[in-house]
Amino acid sequence: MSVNMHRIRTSWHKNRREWLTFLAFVAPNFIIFAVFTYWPIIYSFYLSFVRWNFLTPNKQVVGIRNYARLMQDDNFWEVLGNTLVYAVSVVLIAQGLAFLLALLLNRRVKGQPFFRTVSFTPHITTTAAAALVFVLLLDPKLGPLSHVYNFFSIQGPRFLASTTLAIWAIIIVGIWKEIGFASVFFLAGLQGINQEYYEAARVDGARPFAILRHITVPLMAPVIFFLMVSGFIQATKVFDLVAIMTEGGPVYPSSSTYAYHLYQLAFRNFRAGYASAFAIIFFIGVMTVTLFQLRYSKRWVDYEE
Amino acid sequence: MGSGFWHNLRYNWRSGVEAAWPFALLTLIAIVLGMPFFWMLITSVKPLSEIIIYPPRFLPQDVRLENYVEAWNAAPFDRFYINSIVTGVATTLLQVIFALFMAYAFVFINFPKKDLLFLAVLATMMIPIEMKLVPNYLLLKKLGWVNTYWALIIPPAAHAFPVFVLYQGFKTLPIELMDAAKVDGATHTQTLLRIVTPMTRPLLAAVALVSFVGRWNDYLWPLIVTNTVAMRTLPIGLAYLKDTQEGGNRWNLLMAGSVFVIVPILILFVFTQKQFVEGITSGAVKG
Amino acid sequence: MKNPRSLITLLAALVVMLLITAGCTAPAAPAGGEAAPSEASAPAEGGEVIELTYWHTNPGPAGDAQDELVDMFNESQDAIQVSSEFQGGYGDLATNLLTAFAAGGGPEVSQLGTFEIREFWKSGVLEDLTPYLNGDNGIDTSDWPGTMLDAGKFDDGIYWLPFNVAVPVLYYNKEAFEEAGIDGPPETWDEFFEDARKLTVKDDSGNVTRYGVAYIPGWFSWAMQSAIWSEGGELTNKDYTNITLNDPVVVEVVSKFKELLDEGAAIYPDQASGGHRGMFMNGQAAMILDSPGPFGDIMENSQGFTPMVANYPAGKAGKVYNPGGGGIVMLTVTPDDKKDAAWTFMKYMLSPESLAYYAERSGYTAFTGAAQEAAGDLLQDERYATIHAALPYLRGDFSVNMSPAVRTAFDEAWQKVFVEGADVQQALDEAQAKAEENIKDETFAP
Repeated sequence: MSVNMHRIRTSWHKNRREWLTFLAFVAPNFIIFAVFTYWPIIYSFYLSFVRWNFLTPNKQVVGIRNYARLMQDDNFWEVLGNTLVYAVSVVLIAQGLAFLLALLLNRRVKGQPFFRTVSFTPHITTTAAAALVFVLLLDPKLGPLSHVYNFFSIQGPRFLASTTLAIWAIIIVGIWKEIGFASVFFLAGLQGINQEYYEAARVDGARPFAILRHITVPLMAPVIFFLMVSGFIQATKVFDLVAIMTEGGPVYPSSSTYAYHLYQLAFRNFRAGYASAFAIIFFIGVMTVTLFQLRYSKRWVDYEE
Repeated sequence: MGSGFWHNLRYNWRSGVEAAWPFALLTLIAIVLGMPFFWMLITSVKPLSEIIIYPPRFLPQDVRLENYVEAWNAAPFDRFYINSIVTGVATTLLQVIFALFMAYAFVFINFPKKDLLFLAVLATMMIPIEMKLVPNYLLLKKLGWVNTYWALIIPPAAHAFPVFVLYQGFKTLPIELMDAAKVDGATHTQTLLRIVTPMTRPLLAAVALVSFVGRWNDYLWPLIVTNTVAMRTLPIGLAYLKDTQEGGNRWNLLMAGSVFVIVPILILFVFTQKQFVEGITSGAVKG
Repeated sequence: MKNPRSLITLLAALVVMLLITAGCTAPAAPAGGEAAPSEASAPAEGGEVIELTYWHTNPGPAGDAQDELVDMFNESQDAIQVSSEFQGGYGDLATNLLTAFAAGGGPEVSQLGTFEIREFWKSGVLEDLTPYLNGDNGIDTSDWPGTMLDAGKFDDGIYWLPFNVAVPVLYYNKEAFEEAGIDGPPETWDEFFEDARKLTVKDDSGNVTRYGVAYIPGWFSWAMQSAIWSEGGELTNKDYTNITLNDPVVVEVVSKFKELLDEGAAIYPDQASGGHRGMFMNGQAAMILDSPGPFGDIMENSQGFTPMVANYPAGKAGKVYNPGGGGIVMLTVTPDDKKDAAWTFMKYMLSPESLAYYAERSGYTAFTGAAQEAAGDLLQDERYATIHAALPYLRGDFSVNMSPAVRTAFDEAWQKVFVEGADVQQALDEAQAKAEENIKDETFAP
């Protein structure tokens, strides 16, 4: 440790200019992060050991009681499961579909810009507005799908009234919003691939699937990695869709997720301490997954360079 | 774009099935992905009695344009537009500039334990806003920023996502350029402003668009840190239309309000999408 | 799309941001910015106008009508100027109040739903209104119906006054009743369950084409609570020392609602879209248990039948109705020299004329005797008269609503029963245990 410190101190003299420049460059963001993000994390960590309702002047210290109760809280586990199902489904399905869409768009189809625009617009649509219109769309009677159900004379699924399907209604909207976004990145990646690779492969007589697997996908690794990491983090924070489409129901918390449950605990149930413990556990969880993704991908992404 | 589309449809049709199937498939995908917009539009001009009929009609029998007037009058949307534009542009500018410097530093400047610091930046994306509300509000209160543009602009000005995108983009820049600059004795600031920024301008534009969209669509933060109509932003206009328990939702007005909220951003995207796509191509992901 | 076009813009912006992040000054708000309400200056000295802030919820006409009342108040006198601010739905309003309080601010007067009364009172957020109610400038509450003051009553003080009061309303399809040979709306809950069965229509293949009743998705507990009380049941006492979610009467009432679902005579619709109201308006359900809120929409948009309103049925314990809506409060952050002004404003909002005006504009009730007199012609309409006839039977202590722990547990239980077909007794037993455990976070003495 002290050796390390010593090393850093000597290199400080050598690299002072360089390091000061670094600090100056990252300062604006870090100052704001420190004040508006790091401090709340520390504060929440402290709150997770107290009982408080945000309003009373004093807080009652309860030790790890909040954490202990969390472990026995069925709702906690259900919300954890829902959030994982949502995040993993949206990331995998949306990006899988986006990849295929990008392959299609990359065939230099005429009207490509039009299709790209159409597929990207969901991403820039206000989530609240999207959630509202999907409530109507998914309705088995009032939505356009009722014509399809009628045609086949079947009862359409009542997504929002089913404890198993409600979360999938939310996932559908999540995917809808994500496909175009991811496909633009994939398309850019595909267009950046040097055509010589493909020609060489074709000369070697490689089958299309083999080309996809051994050339396209590895070369796209940085894009895939980038979308996986940022997509997963974003997905764990889904709030508006839940709030507007299901409010966590039809049997709470059958479609509730991390951010929505946190809001419920903190602001509708006034359990600041308990909510903080919940938030801390989740933060650690998402952090761990991201670290894992980073570490794993490092090997994977560097592999092609 | 529209006429091009029809031209292409014909073009593809003539050039035979072989070339037409990706086009047909894409058309189908476009219909599925575009359906919510279509439904939003037709619902916004239906009378309430037509929304609850079964089976639903694709085209309204009565076109009720008053829905738009009623929705517009439900809240001071003109004021909301101004606030959304001002705070959206300001925050976007700051987000991009801050991210530009930070990403450059992480990619091109030496610093011990840089990876750990970068992780600390990524970590900020993992904090849902709900966790930050109360501590942030306390702070805004101390700064005297509650219900001001500062509260709407400064805290969201630091964002990890643009940093992440630019970081990925900068890593693909040819290292020889940097070395050349160094030999010329250019400082980091000079390198950033004279070499990196011009080279990545389209990428910056793309990042800016994503940032702007994020601010434009944000609901909870503006709702909490402002409390007067004069300071509110556009998505809160939807809350004026979304009824709570006793009244019940007037879906036609809600959809009309949704149109108010998303149209500007759609127009912005249509006009900037070339830059946007170029940006992504030039940056993040070049293999 | 403002990518930095030139280095100059970039540098200028950089300078600005450095100034800002230095944060040594708290700059004044740019155009349109107004100071946070609690900081609104001006101690009321001779002749100076006292400025107050009022926060409210209720989007649509019910919210606009509040803004109008505030304007009317401002015009009616010169000493006090109130600014009225919409804060989103009930939940949004509560979150905003909570964050504002946590930072020691907030408006002087606010609307408040029932869910938060108890927690806010316990935390010392709400001002005791008893001295004002009984003072020289007081309000005569002798003509207020039922036990309307109970919701805000704690430890001999009154901390919350009802303002936008909703009563339960049974909407029914006149033609469907005639078709089924039923003479008028159900008088008792037993009749209600019977009628629902008679009103149900199935086609040849057994599919239901019209349900007897459609339940309210999400907040049906509001309606069921009236049934439970009317049958003599209790969900909890007021200080939550005796929670009885698995009380035999509760089990019996929830079971009866479940039986209708099992038989296809009732439906628990989606949370969203048309919901129970849509089903009623397009004739798919013959009855709904609701509030007066959607009255206008239902009268205007119902298709192919005559919609009618009635009061909820009675039970063994007579008619006991659960009120809906919200009330108004004064907050303890109000400085002493503004409290009288704040009360004057509250009194204006609760005056017979204001309540009558509000009832006419919003669909809530003119709930005091004097307000009904002031409403005059409005109550000549038979349907409005029916709605107002429910007022004497309101029971004011929103007991379940006021404890998040009990409410959440009860909601999860009946939703499990309705949606997943869970066993009633078992679900309510579990809810009972959960409520008793989680209530500890609410009832501890801070």
